[in-house]
Amino acid sequence: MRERTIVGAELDLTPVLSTIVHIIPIALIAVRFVTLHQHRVDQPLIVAEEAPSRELAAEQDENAVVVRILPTGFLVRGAEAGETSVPCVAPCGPDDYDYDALNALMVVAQARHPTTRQMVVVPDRAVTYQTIIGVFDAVTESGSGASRRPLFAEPVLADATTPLSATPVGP
Amino acid sequence: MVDMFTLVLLFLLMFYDPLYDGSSPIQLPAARVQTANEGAVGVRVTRESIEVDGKKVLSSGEGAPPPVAGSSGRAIPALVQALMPLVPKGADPVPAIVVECDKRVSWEVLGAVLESAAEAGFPRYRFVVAGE
Repeated sequence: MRERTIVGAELDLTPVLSTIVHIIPIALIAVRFVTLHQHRVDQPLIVAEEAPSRELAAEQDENAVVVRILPTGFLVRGAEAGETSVPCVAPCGPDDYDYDALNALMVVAQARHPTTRQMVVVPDRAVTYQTIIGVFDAVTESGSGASRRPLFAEPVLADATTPLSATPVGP
Repeated sequence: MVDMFTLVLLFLLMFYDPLYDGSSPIQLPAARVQTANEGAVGVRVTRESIEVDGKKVLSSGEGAPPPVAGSSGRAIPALVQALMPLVPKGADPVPAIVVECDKRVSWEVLGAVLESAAEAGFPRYRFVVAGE
């Protein structure tokens, strides 16, 4: 007897659809969405024309907390007597700067200048934005989680061509 | 119907990039800061171009930095012209400008962008970073 063939029967896709429906929640859980945050800089970029008088500059110079970002590391003023050098690990790429040491110095600087919220960041021309943001992270707060505490919440960007004495400082 | 939506969803998930909403690719630096992102007039600085609210103001060839004239600390005339009409009249204080910058861009370019913004009338900045 000849076998009967069903012509035009639909394919049963239910198992395939079921599998895909199970995969979707797994993919949604696994995907990591990027959250965007902001670093606030409320002071304008300091330009040479805004330089104060020599007497005022000298007075401000003693109180300013300044971090210079050099191609070889950080140069910090205001944490210890004189300037403190924080060299980076060779070859000094954006990830090779010693942000932890800078953060520790900023804790000391904050203790010396408890009333000010401002400090000055002076990047070298070749320094990348990633390094500047790393410095902002290191100077604005210390610790993590519940032990997080603010340091200098209002960092100011200054151009390397501007004399450091032209930088504003807090009260 | 269901399988059609399933395919569409998979397609969108494959090509969805939350950091990219303009015409140029950008890599934001990661940061620990917790301040939430706020929308405002936006300047996007990539390795090849500078955009204001999605419109290219300056661009260069592939891989070359945007042609910022002069040294660091000099405003870019084209960028100042593009930003000036966007300063809200009578607003006190003037809202901050939101800067989305590629993490590989140098201070030479970024400094010029910030000074241009200040000259146009935006004295405050917000640097957009990727949360950790």
